[in-house]
Parts: sequence; structure tokens; C-alpha cells
Amino acid sequence: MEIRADGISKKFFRKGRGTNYFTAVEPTDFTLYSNKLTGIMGRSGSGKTTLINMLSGLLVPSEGKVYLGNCDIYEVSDIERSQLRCSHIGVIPQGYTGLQSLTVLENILAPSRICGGEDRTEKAMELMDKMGITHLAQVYSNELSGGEQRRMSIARALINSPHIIIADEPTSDLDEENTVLIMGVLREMADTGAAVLMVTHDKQAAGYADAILTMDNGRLIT
Amino acid sequence: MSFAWDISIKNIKRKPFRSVMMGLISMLLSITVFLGSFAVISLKRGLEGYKARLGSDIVVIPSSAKGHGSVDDIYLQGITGNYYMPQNIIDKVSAINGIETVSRQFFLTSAKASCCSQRVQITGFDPDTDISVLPWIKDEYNGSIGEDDIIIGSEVSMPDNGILKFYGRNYNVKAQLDRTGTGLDNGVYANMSTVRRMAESASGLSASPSFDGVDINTAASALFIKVKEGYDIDEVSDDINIHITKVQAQTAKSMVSHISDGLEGISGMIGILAVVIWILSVVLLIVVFALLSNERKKEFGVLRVMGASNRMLSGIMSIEAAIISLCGAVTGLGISFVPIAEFSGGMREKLELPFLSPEPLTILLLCLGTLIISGTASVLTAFFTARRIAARETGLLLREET
Repeated sequence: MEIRADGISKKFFRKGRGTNYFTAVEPTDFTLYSNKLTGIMGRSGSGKTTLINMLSGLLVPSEGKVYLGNCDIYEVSDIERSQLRCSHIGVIPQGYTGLQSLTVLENILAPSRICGGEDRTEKAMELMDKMGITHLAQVYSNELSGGEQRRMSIARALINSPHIIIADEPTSDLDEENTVLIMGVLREMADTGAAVLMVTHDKQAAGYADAILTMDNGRLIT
Repeated sequence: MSFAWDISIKNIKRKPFRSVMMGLISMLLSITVFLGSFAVISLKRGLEGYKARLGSDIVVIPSSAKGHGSVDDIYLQGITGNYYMPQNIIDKVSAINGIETVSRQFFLTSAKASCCSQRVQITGFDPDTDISVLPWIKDEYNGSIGEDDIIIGSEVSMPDNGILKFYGRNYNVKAQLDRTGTGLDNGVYANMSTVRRMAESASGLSASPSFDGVDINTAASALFIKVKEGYDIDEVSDDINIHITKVQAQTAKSMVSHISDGLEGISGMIGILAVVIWILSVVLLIVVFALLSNERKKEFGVLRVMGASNRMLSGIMSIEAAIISLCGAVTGLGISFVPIAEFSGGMREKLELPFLSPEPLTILLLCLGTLIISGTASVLTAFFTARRIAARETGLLLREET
């Protein structure tokens, strides 16, 4: 399954004097292919996160369309779009995004429970083993270190075996050991058929990508 | 258990301060709703009690009773005394056109002395013609009231042996009445001949009331009159006041309306106060939820990333609010019951108004209503707060917090 963007752009309203709108992403065409790990690099504020949020179904483009397979994801209802995201897209957001009321295991299982599918505890245990956080299964997420949190987020994004994985700076603030571990997992996902898109500033992480695109002032340069 | 329920319960447990703060607001809301409604219902019930117990259309007492207060004070608040009308006056009143029945009552205040167990107002009535005492004692006591039998009000201390002594004689307590919320609760009731004999015993004692010139066997302290169908009660009352000297007549309707006006004013004030506090509590709820919503933007954003729909987010917020508000409301109800006994007595004594607690079924319904109101207010506030957050795009929610 692929994700395709046709002419998507995003403008934001800005309070204050002068021009009220600024363009975060200029009209962009883009396709994220299966079996590929694609990286996007660029300076802060160049529009990388805005672009991947639009591709993830989390931010409505000001213009243009985003297709998941043949489905225009912004034409369907919120419930249908949520279901599509749940079943097909694994998103690893920027920063520490553990739900503090839940343990690590509960956090990882949350997307599968939201989707309402089968019990995926076994799969969660496998992912925790792969990420080296099995011993933290019953620990609350706010008690984890930065690297542990990030590994938990990745395991959580993979629990529903998504066809598309979108990661926003998955290795920022991590040491080399954690970077190698996380990029190894993302590489493996791409090699086994997933379409993986990653935003990064990290050159070591970028070395794992099949292709690197650059974002500059809202423009995607291939 | 669904994910929404599971995470809601875990959120409540893992955020105790937040949960307790929200619970306190719900508690305040439920206390306000419950106590406000309780006070208004109790006052209205007290008035209904008055109406029901008045029984007659007109009450006549001798002019000499004026020193003891107005007719309604005497009758409704139980401020009674030893005053009497002779037989010839009673005959004149009975002869007024339009009167269907006249029932006599004989008042006697017991002395606070060794002769008597307690100082109470004793009322003798005629069971054959009575229209004001029997209707409300029959709920508690359906048997006959024979010689030396007495019925006591709710505030009169019930003796262990069931015997009270007045003016040196013992009387059998047959029943104790329900609380009326008025001075009538301090009364003792017996048939006319029992009270007349009590008065005879009293007349020989130093601590006795004065019966100078009073024929105890025929005199009466008050007359309770039922007007014939087709006659105007006000006109009959006016006829008595105009044509018969040394008595004052007052219609039951005027007594009740006097009390009713006061009660409506007070219950209106309580109602307004309750509504004001209620609105303030709801505003407080909205403010708290708005503040919490800012704190929870990131959590909501993450849930959206994982595939939760806006509907699921609203559901999670609503479930949390429902659980917390129900706990708060139940606690509030528990706390409300503590001051109720004191509150009822205080109202009666300080405002000189009847305050009659609702029946258990009404209290149960009031509790249910309070739970529904508190729960609904919290759930609706939570629901709309969640919708407001959900209306923001997830990408922006995550950006604001990361």
C-alpha cells in the first residue's frame, strides 16, 4: 500500500500585524512507496512535520489531496479516517508521547484496543523484546528514560502491523546504541514490505534511508 | 472492558489530585441542589400540613385570648393559654346563619410543678364533632380515646411506663403523633371529659390556672366551625365578629394565606440562592474542564495518532466525568444528610415557620434527581470540552505540546 499526495499545501493563520497567513508547505506532489525507507531532512521550521502530519491524516491540507491506496483520506468521515490510520498507518510522533496513566505494555497495546481487533499481547511481547524493553512492561511511561520512551513509541506504532510507518525525528536526543536499534527496526520494516517515511536531522539515521529528500522553506526538493 | 472505560478508570486513579478537585465541585453542586430542594419542599410540606390539620373553615376564640397572640399564632404555632368562652357565647355563635357544625376545644396549660410531669399545652376535644384533631391523629392512632387516655405530640417526652401525671392524676399515653414542625408538637390531646376533670383537679391546686367565673363543664377555649355548603366563609366569619362581642373569628384560609405568603417568600429566596450557587458550580466546572483540557491536549493528540476518533475522545472525557461526578455527588448527598436534622429544627425555631421533612420516598427521589443533575452537568461540560479540543487538528495539538 502506498500513500500519495497530490498538490498538498498548508497555510496557517497568524495573529498579529502584517500578513495574516504564512505558507508552511508549498503545493507538493509526493508518493511514499512500499519497501522503501524515505528520509526527509531540512532546517527547523522548513515544513517537514507539517508535511508528514498531512500525510498521516492528522492535519487537513489547505489544498490538494492525500490518497491511501485509492481512498482520499480527507474526504471520508472522522471515524473512517481514524479507522484507516489505526489499521494502516503507524505514526511515531516527535517527543515523548507515552500515555501516563498506562504501563508500557498497556501503551503498546492501546492502538490495537482502539481498533478493536484481536488480542495482540503476544505481538506486544515480541516488539518489547525486539526493542529491549521487556523488563519495563509493567512500568508507567512517565517513569521511563528518553530512549525507553522512544522505543516504546515505536513498538506502539508497529503493534497493528501497519503498511505505512511515519516517524518524526525518531532518533533525536538518543545515543548511538539506541539510534542503531531504532533505525535497524525501521529498516527491517521497510525491507519486509512497509512504506517508511522518516523526518530526521540525524546524519547517522539518514544513512539507513533508501532516499533522502530535502525540505526548504516549505518546498520539497527531490 | 472497552478501551474507553479502561483508560478512563486508569486516568482517574493515576491523577488523584485532578480527580479529587473535580469530585469536590460535583460534591458542592449536589449539596446545593439537594439541600436547596430539601428546604423548599420541607417548607411547602409544612404549609400543606397546616392546611390539612386546620380541618375547619373558621376558628373562634374569646377576645381575652388576645394577650396570647393572634388567632393564627394561637392555633397554628401552638401559643395557647388558659382562656374560656361561657356556654351562652357558644350558643350565640352556634346560632349564626350558615354554620353546619361547631366543635369545641378546651385548653389547659399544665404547670411546671411537682403536680405535673411536663409543662405542655393540653387540648380537650369532642371526638363526636371534632374536625381538626382526629383527622391528623388517626394516622398514628385509630383506636378510641377513652377516659384518662391521652395522645401526645412528637416533642413531648414519652415516659417509659406510658403514664404522664397532670395535676396529681395519672393518664395513659395511647399514642405519639408524627412531627408537624409547629408548636402543636408540644401538645397533649384528650377527650373533653378527661380534660375537664383535669381542670377540676387543677382548680384545687396552688399551681393551677385561674378558673374564676368559668364553668369548667360547659366552657370552651376555641370553637372550630364548618360552614354549610353554599355559604360564604368570609361572610359567616364577619357575621360572628359583628354580632357577637367578646370573641374573635378568623377564617382558616386567611391563616394559611398569611403563613403561605411568608413561606413562599422564604422558599423563593432559598430557591434563588440554590440556583445562583448551582450556576456558579456549573461555571466552575466549565472553567476547570477548560483548564484541564489544556493540560490534556498532548494526551488527546497521542490518542488521535493511535487511531482514536473524536467520538472516542468525547466518550473518554464523559466517562471520567460521569464516574467522578457520581462519586462527588454521592459524597455530597452523604454530607447533606448530616446537617438536615439540625437545619430543620433551626428553621422552625428561628423563622417560626413550619419545616416538615419530606417522606422517605420523596427524599429518595430527591437523591436520584440530585445525582442525575450533578452527573448530567459534569458529563455535558466534559463532552463539550472534549468536542472543543477535538475540533482542533491533531497535528496542531501535538505541536503545541511537544
